[in-house]
Amino acid sequence: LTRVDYDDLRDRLQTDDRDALRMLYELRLPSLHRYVGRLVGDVDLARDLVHDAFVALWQARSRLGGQVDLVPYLYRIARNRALRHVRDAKLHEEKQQLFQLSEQREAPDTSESVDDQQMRVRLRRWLDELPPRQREALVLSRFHDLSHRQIAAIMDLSVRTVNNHIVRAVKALSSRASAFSGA
Amino acid sequence: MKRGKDKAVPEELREALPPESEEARTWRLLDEPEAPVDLEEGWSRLTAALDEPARTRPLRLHLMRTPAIRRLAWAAVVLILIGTGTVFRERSATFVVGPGSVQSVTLPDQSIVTLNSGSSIRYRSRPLDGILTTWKRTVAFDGEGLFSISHTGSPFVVEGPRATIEVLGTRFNVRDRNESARARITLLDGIVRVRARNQPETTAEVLEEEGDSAILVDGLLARAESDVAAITSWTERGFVLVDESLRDLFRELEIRFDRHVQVAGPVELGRSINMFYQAGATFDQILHDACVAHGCTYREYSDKVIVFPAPNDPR
Repeated sequence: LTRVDYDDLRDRLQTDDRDALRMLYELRLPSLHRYVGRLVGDVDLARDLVHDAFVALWQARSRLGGQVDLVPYLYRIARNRALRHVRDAKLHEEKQQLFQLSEQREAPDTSESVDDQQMRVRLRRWLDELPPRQREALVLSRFHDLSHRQIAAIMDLSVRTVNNHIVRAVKALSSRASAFSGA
Repeated sequence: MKRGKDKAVPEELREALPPESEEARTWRLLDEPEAPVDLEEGWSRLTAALDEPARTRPLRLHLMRTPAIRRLAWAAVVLILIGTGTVFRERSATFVVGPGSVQSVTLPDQSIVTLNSGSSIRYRSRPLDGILTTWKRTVAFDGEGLFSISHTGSPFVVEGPRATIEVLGTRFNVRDRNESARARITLLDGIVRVRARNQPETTAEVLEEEGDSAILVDGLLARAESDVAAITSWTERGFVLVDESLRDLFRELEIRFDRHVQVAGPVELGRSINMFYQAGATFDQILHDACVAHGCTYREYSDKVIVFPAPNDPR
């Protein structure tokens, strides 16, 4: 697996290279869609917000410069839009729908113990019950291949706070898991 | 494939979550189910948006669910972007009409187009030859519009999602919405040639009498006679659907009245429907009548209307 050179993609975007945008799109759309979906709780809306984020990135391409870390930059655009939407929706007391990620109908992983399989399902539910910022930091770290520095840039926090959020989140989940296994 | 299944604890967390700990097991077992995405569909939508000079995006149902203030902005602020390409001596203009309103616009060639709710038009004129004697006027169109084309001697072409319409000075109504299955072009005055998009000119139908219509479904072209007064009554705030489906009716209600209609349960959306209302018909009136005729019922919520099959509908 080769490592994607996002700095190269960033530089190519600035020369109006649509192939670079396409590549970024294919690499990041699925994960960005899941992330925004979690934030707004609506798959269709998430799709449009992510679409808008890519349009905004394209429009801002000439202002990217040589220092911007592309992926956190893109996430941040999407996040700002998502949070703005959530805020507006709250103002209008719109009812939040639950974000339904589609469950896999894959064959059970036979290399994995039944305990582990059941724990996965529980963890998924407990993850939803974590405090929002802890959950967001953990999700970005665990599922989005982002460093703490990048997560800090996306969430507008210090690196130390990001670290604390993630560690606290994992510990909270672990203690629930232990309590469950012990019971 | 499960997301990031069994990914090891990253370097940065090793100290807080040592490899053999219960926390590390938790980390390993965390996963995130897929959210389905259609990369191809999304990409083509994205490239279309990048090419769009004005910041518009395809009308999607949940636009209607955005907060009132943004909706107002959307409907009231009719996005107008006029670029006069002086360098290449091209002229272009883009107009978008949001849900709930009807607007007349004058194109740079003085043609007048009345646009029904949820319609967009992009006009360009380009020289056909090097010495700038012959120009071609082209509009990319989606929605419903009543066209009065100025006679300049240059060809005028309307490209809808389904239909290509070639015109010399004339008046005609185009109903060609991207999200609906059928397009209808009706002549009021003059002559137009209509063909399915990307089909050769030899397949075109020529409309030359008032009330001549061309109908396009699935790329197939058919002729019909239409009542011109009914077809154009939307310009006077009438509400008319000829031979369209229940699905199209609900969509039209959403666009015209800026409401959100949701269908719950087995309502036969493909059913054909005809409706004719003079100006002033209300959303409730139309929906009520449609439901009486087609065996459905509905309930109103603050942000939407949900349509159900009628409980005692024998179908």
